[in-house]
Parts: sequence; C-alpha cells; structure tokens
Amino acid sequence: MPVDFDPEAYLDAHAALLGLTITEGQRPGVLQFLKLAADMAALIDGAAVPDDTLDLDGTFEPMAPRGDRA
Amino acid sequence: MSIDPFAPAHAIAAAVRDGRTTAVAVTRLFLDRIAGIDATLNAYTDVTAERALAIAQAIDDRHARGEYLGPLAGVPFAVKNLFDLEDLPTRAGSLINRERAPAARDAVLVERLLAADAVILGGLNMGEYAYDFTGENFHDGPCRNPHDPEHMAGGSSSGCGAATGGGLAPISLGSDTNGSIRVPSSLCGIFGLKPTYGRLPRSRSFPFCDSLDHLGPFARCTADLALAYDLMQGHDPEDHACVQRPVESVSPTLGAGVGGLQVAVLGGHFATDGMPEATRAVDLVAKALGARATVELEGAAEGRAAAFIITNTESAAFHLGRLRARAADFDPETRDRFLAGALLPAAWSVRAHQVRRWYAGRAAALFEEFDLLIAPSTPMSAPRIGQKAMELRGKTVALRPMFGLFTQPISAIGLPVCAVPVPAAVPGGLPIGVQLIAAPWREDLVLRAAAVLEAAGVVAAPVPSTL
Repeated sequence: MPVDFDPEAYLDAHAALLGLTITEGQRPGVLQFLKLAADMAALIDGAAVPDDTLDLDGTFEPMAPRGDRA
Repeated sequence: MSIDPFAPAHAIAAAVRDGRTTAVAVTRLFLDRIAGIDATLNAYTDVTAERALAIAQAIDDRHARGEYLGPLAGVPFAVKNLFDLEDLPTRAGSLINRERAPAARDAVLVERLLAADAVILGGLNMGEYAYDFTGENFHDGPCRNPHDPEHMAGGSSSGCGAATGGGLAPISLGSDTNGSIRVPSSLCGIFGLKPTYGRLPRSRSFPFCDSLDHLGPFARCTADLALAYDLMQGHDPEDHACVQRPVESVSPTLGAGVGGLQVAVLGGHFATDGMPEATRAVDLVAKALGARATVELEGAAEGRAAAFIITNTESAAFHLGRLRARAADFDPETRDRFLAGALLPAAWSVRAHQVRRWYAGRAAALFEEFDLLIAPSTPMSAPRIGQKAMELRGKTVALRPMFGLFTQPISAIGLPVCAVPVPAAVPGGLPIGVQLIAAPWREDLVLRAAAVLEAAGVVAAPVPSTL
C-alpha cells in the first residue's frame, strides 16, 4: 500500500463528500477493501511504464453523423 | 428416441432435424429436469417454460411443413440473468433491479441463438452485479456445484456453470469481466469461451465494468462452444465497444490441429507452486499440446492490479446513486467492495488505464514468439459453500477477491481464452480447468487447441455422479 495511505482517515474524509453514509457495520468491510485497493495501487505505481508518457488504454473516437452527412 | 441431457447440443439439433425427436420433447425433458434437480443446484432464477414450449412447438410445426431448421434446432439454452429477456426485469443478481420494468426485447446474443432455432429456458443465478467469483448470492441463495452441492459453482456466471455442468442447459451464456466465465467453467467441469474484448456485442445486457465486460458461451464440448460462438458473431451498433469486424467462423477450422504452433506455459505470476490440482491440469495440457517452454508474461501482476482498480472504480461509479440511496439493499459481500471503489482516488484509476495499455504491449511482444499460452483457470477445485479464505502460496488470503488470480491478468487485456476441463487432474475429485490463451482475435487457435485436447481425451466435461 502507498506509504502515506491511511484507510481510516481516507474513508472519514471522503465518504461524506461523495454523499455516502457508511454504517459501523459496513465500515470494517469497506476498510478491508480500501486496503486491498491500496495494495493494488502500489503495484501499478511500480509498473515499468516509461516516464513522461500518458498512453491510456482507451482512445476517444469522434462520432460522425449518420446518413448523407457522414 | 430418448435424449441424453448431457448429449452435445449439435447432436440434439441433428436428432430434431432428422425427426428422431422433437423440439417439444427435448424442451419438456429439460423443463422436467429443472423441476426435479434445480431445487438442489439453484441454477435458475427464472424458468420461462411457457415461452420455451411455444418456441419449441413453432419449430416442430415448421419441421412438419418441411421448412429449414437452424443449426441449433430445438437446443435449449439459458442465460445469466444480466441478459435482457423479453418480459422479465433484468435483475443482474440484485434485489434493486427487480423493480426495473420488464425488458422490451431480448439481448442481441439471445436473439441470435433464437434465430438459429435454439429454445430459451430462462435466466440463471449469478453473483450480485457480477462482482463475484463464488456463486453465492445473498438474495437468491448460493448456486451449487453439480458435482457436489456442498461446494461452490464459482462466479459470477454461477448458474451457467451449474446448469450446463448439471445437464440443465446444453448451452448457456454468461459474462466475464475478471474471470466470471472461466472460473465457473473450471469449478463445474465444462468448456467456456471468453472471446476477445469487443468481439461479441453486449447490447441489452446489464453492465458491470464497461472497460472489461465480455460475453461468451458455455458448453459441454468444443464443437458446441464453436457453434454457439459462430452464431453470435457480428457487429451490433448498440454496443459502443463492439468492433466492426467481419464474422470469422471458427467451426470450419476446428479440426486443423496445432501442428506448427508455438506453445508455452505461463510461469511467474501463473506458477502453481503449492497447488497440486492446478499443477497436474497444466502439466497434462502442456504435454498434450507439445509446449516447448515456460515463459513469463511481463507485467501480469501489475496488469491484474490495473484490472482490479478499473473494475472497482468504474463499477462503483456506475452504482453510485444506488449506493447513496439503497446501500442496505445490496448483497453485503458486494456492497462493501462497491463502497470502497467509490472512494478511490482518480489518479489510481488513470494510472490503471495507463498500466493496462503498457501491459498489453508486453503481451503482444510475447505473442510474436508464441501462438498459444497455457495457464491454470483457478488455483484449486471448488471451495465449500460459505468458505471465506483460502491458502495461497503459504498465506491465508480472502477467497472472494483472490480467486481470479490467474484469470484477471488475461481478461485485463482482452485476450481470447478457451477454458477447458481436465478430469484426469483430479481423478474422482471435483473438476478443475485450464486456460488456453491466444493473441487478440485468434479465437480459432484456442478452439483448435481445445479440439486437439478433446480428441486426445485430455479434456472433457464429466457427467456428475450425484445427479
């Protein structure tokens, strides 16, 4: 997990901003999955992607109108 | 004549076309089996019996008039309940979706199989909103393994695995975002095809994660898998991810063999140390296909992590309104994951999409040397219903997010995979399967390899002894 990632503090700071109410019963499960996601984030952070590139997997395709104007 | 419910779909269709049986007789056989067995397996959530019998009667009427019958004449099939079926709400394994209006029209893949004279039997159980590898559903109950009902069917296309594995539907259709076709195929001992991302249109199916969702068939033999896949190919403009690509039929080349193909086993992330069933399954397949090397797929772990983040963020964003208003109505096992996903930083998501593209390039480089790659489908055979953790490489880990260890890195970059069952890996035990993987758009190669293995007796769908 990223060294500066604190799941509890992160949850407390962001849930309300998103309009999410996380009950005490849900909190342990959500924290567990936040920690797991943070572990995954650390893995992708360490991938040997060339610096100074931003090639994403999706490429936007402009949409032409249908019919004669295409 | 009597029909074997475990007979191949193409043999059933031939019997209907030849007049040795009728579509109505076949349909009644499967409806009777569902009535008798599905209380145990819990594969079906909706049985559309009246519709099925009407379709079957129409096929028989056309046959009586001497009209042409399609390649799947009278073959029953069923679909994961995230496919739209006319007049049913598309529940996608959830409680909330049951309030949706009934679908006005079948999903496009359902329409294409019906056009081939198949007979729709109904909707199948699944993990809620497809976020699942277990087949356990809080609202509809667990779907059970046809080889031992105390064990999982696997998910999220659990009903597909149980129905086609248990002789309740010769063909079924499911979805696979991170492994949801390949995991139930492995645990239930059947064949599953996850085509290349963008190959089969997802029109009128309920989404999970747009960037990673695939649809595909399950069957009990390679020929049926190829037949169903061929009948479903073709662009549909309603799915923005579906490519404009000509139909590339695989059935005509199914017997072309694997001579001249370069085959390798995936190591590294895919190594099966401490997983004896998976090791035996991979070894048997590798030997039969003449694999010449064990190779590493660079970036597999990072690619899997990218798929995890993309799935978590994208699906949570899709469900955000439902999470705000009705979190208590979710399956607790999916809800907490969705809630966590809604909170993740945007930077993680962007990085995941960047890593996914980089990793796809690493895989493309490997396919310059090899035509086919072999990897296990699952780390082990079916866990028990209710099991929450598993032993993996000396550690105890949570089962739900980790059961897709071997499938997730492959679907992450949209590669075509045929999941094949390998009974000899577990003599007398629960099934386990292997992934046959090729470069994008080479479904023909994975199915050719499956056909070679089937002819050699290495892969086959076992008939459950308990049913």
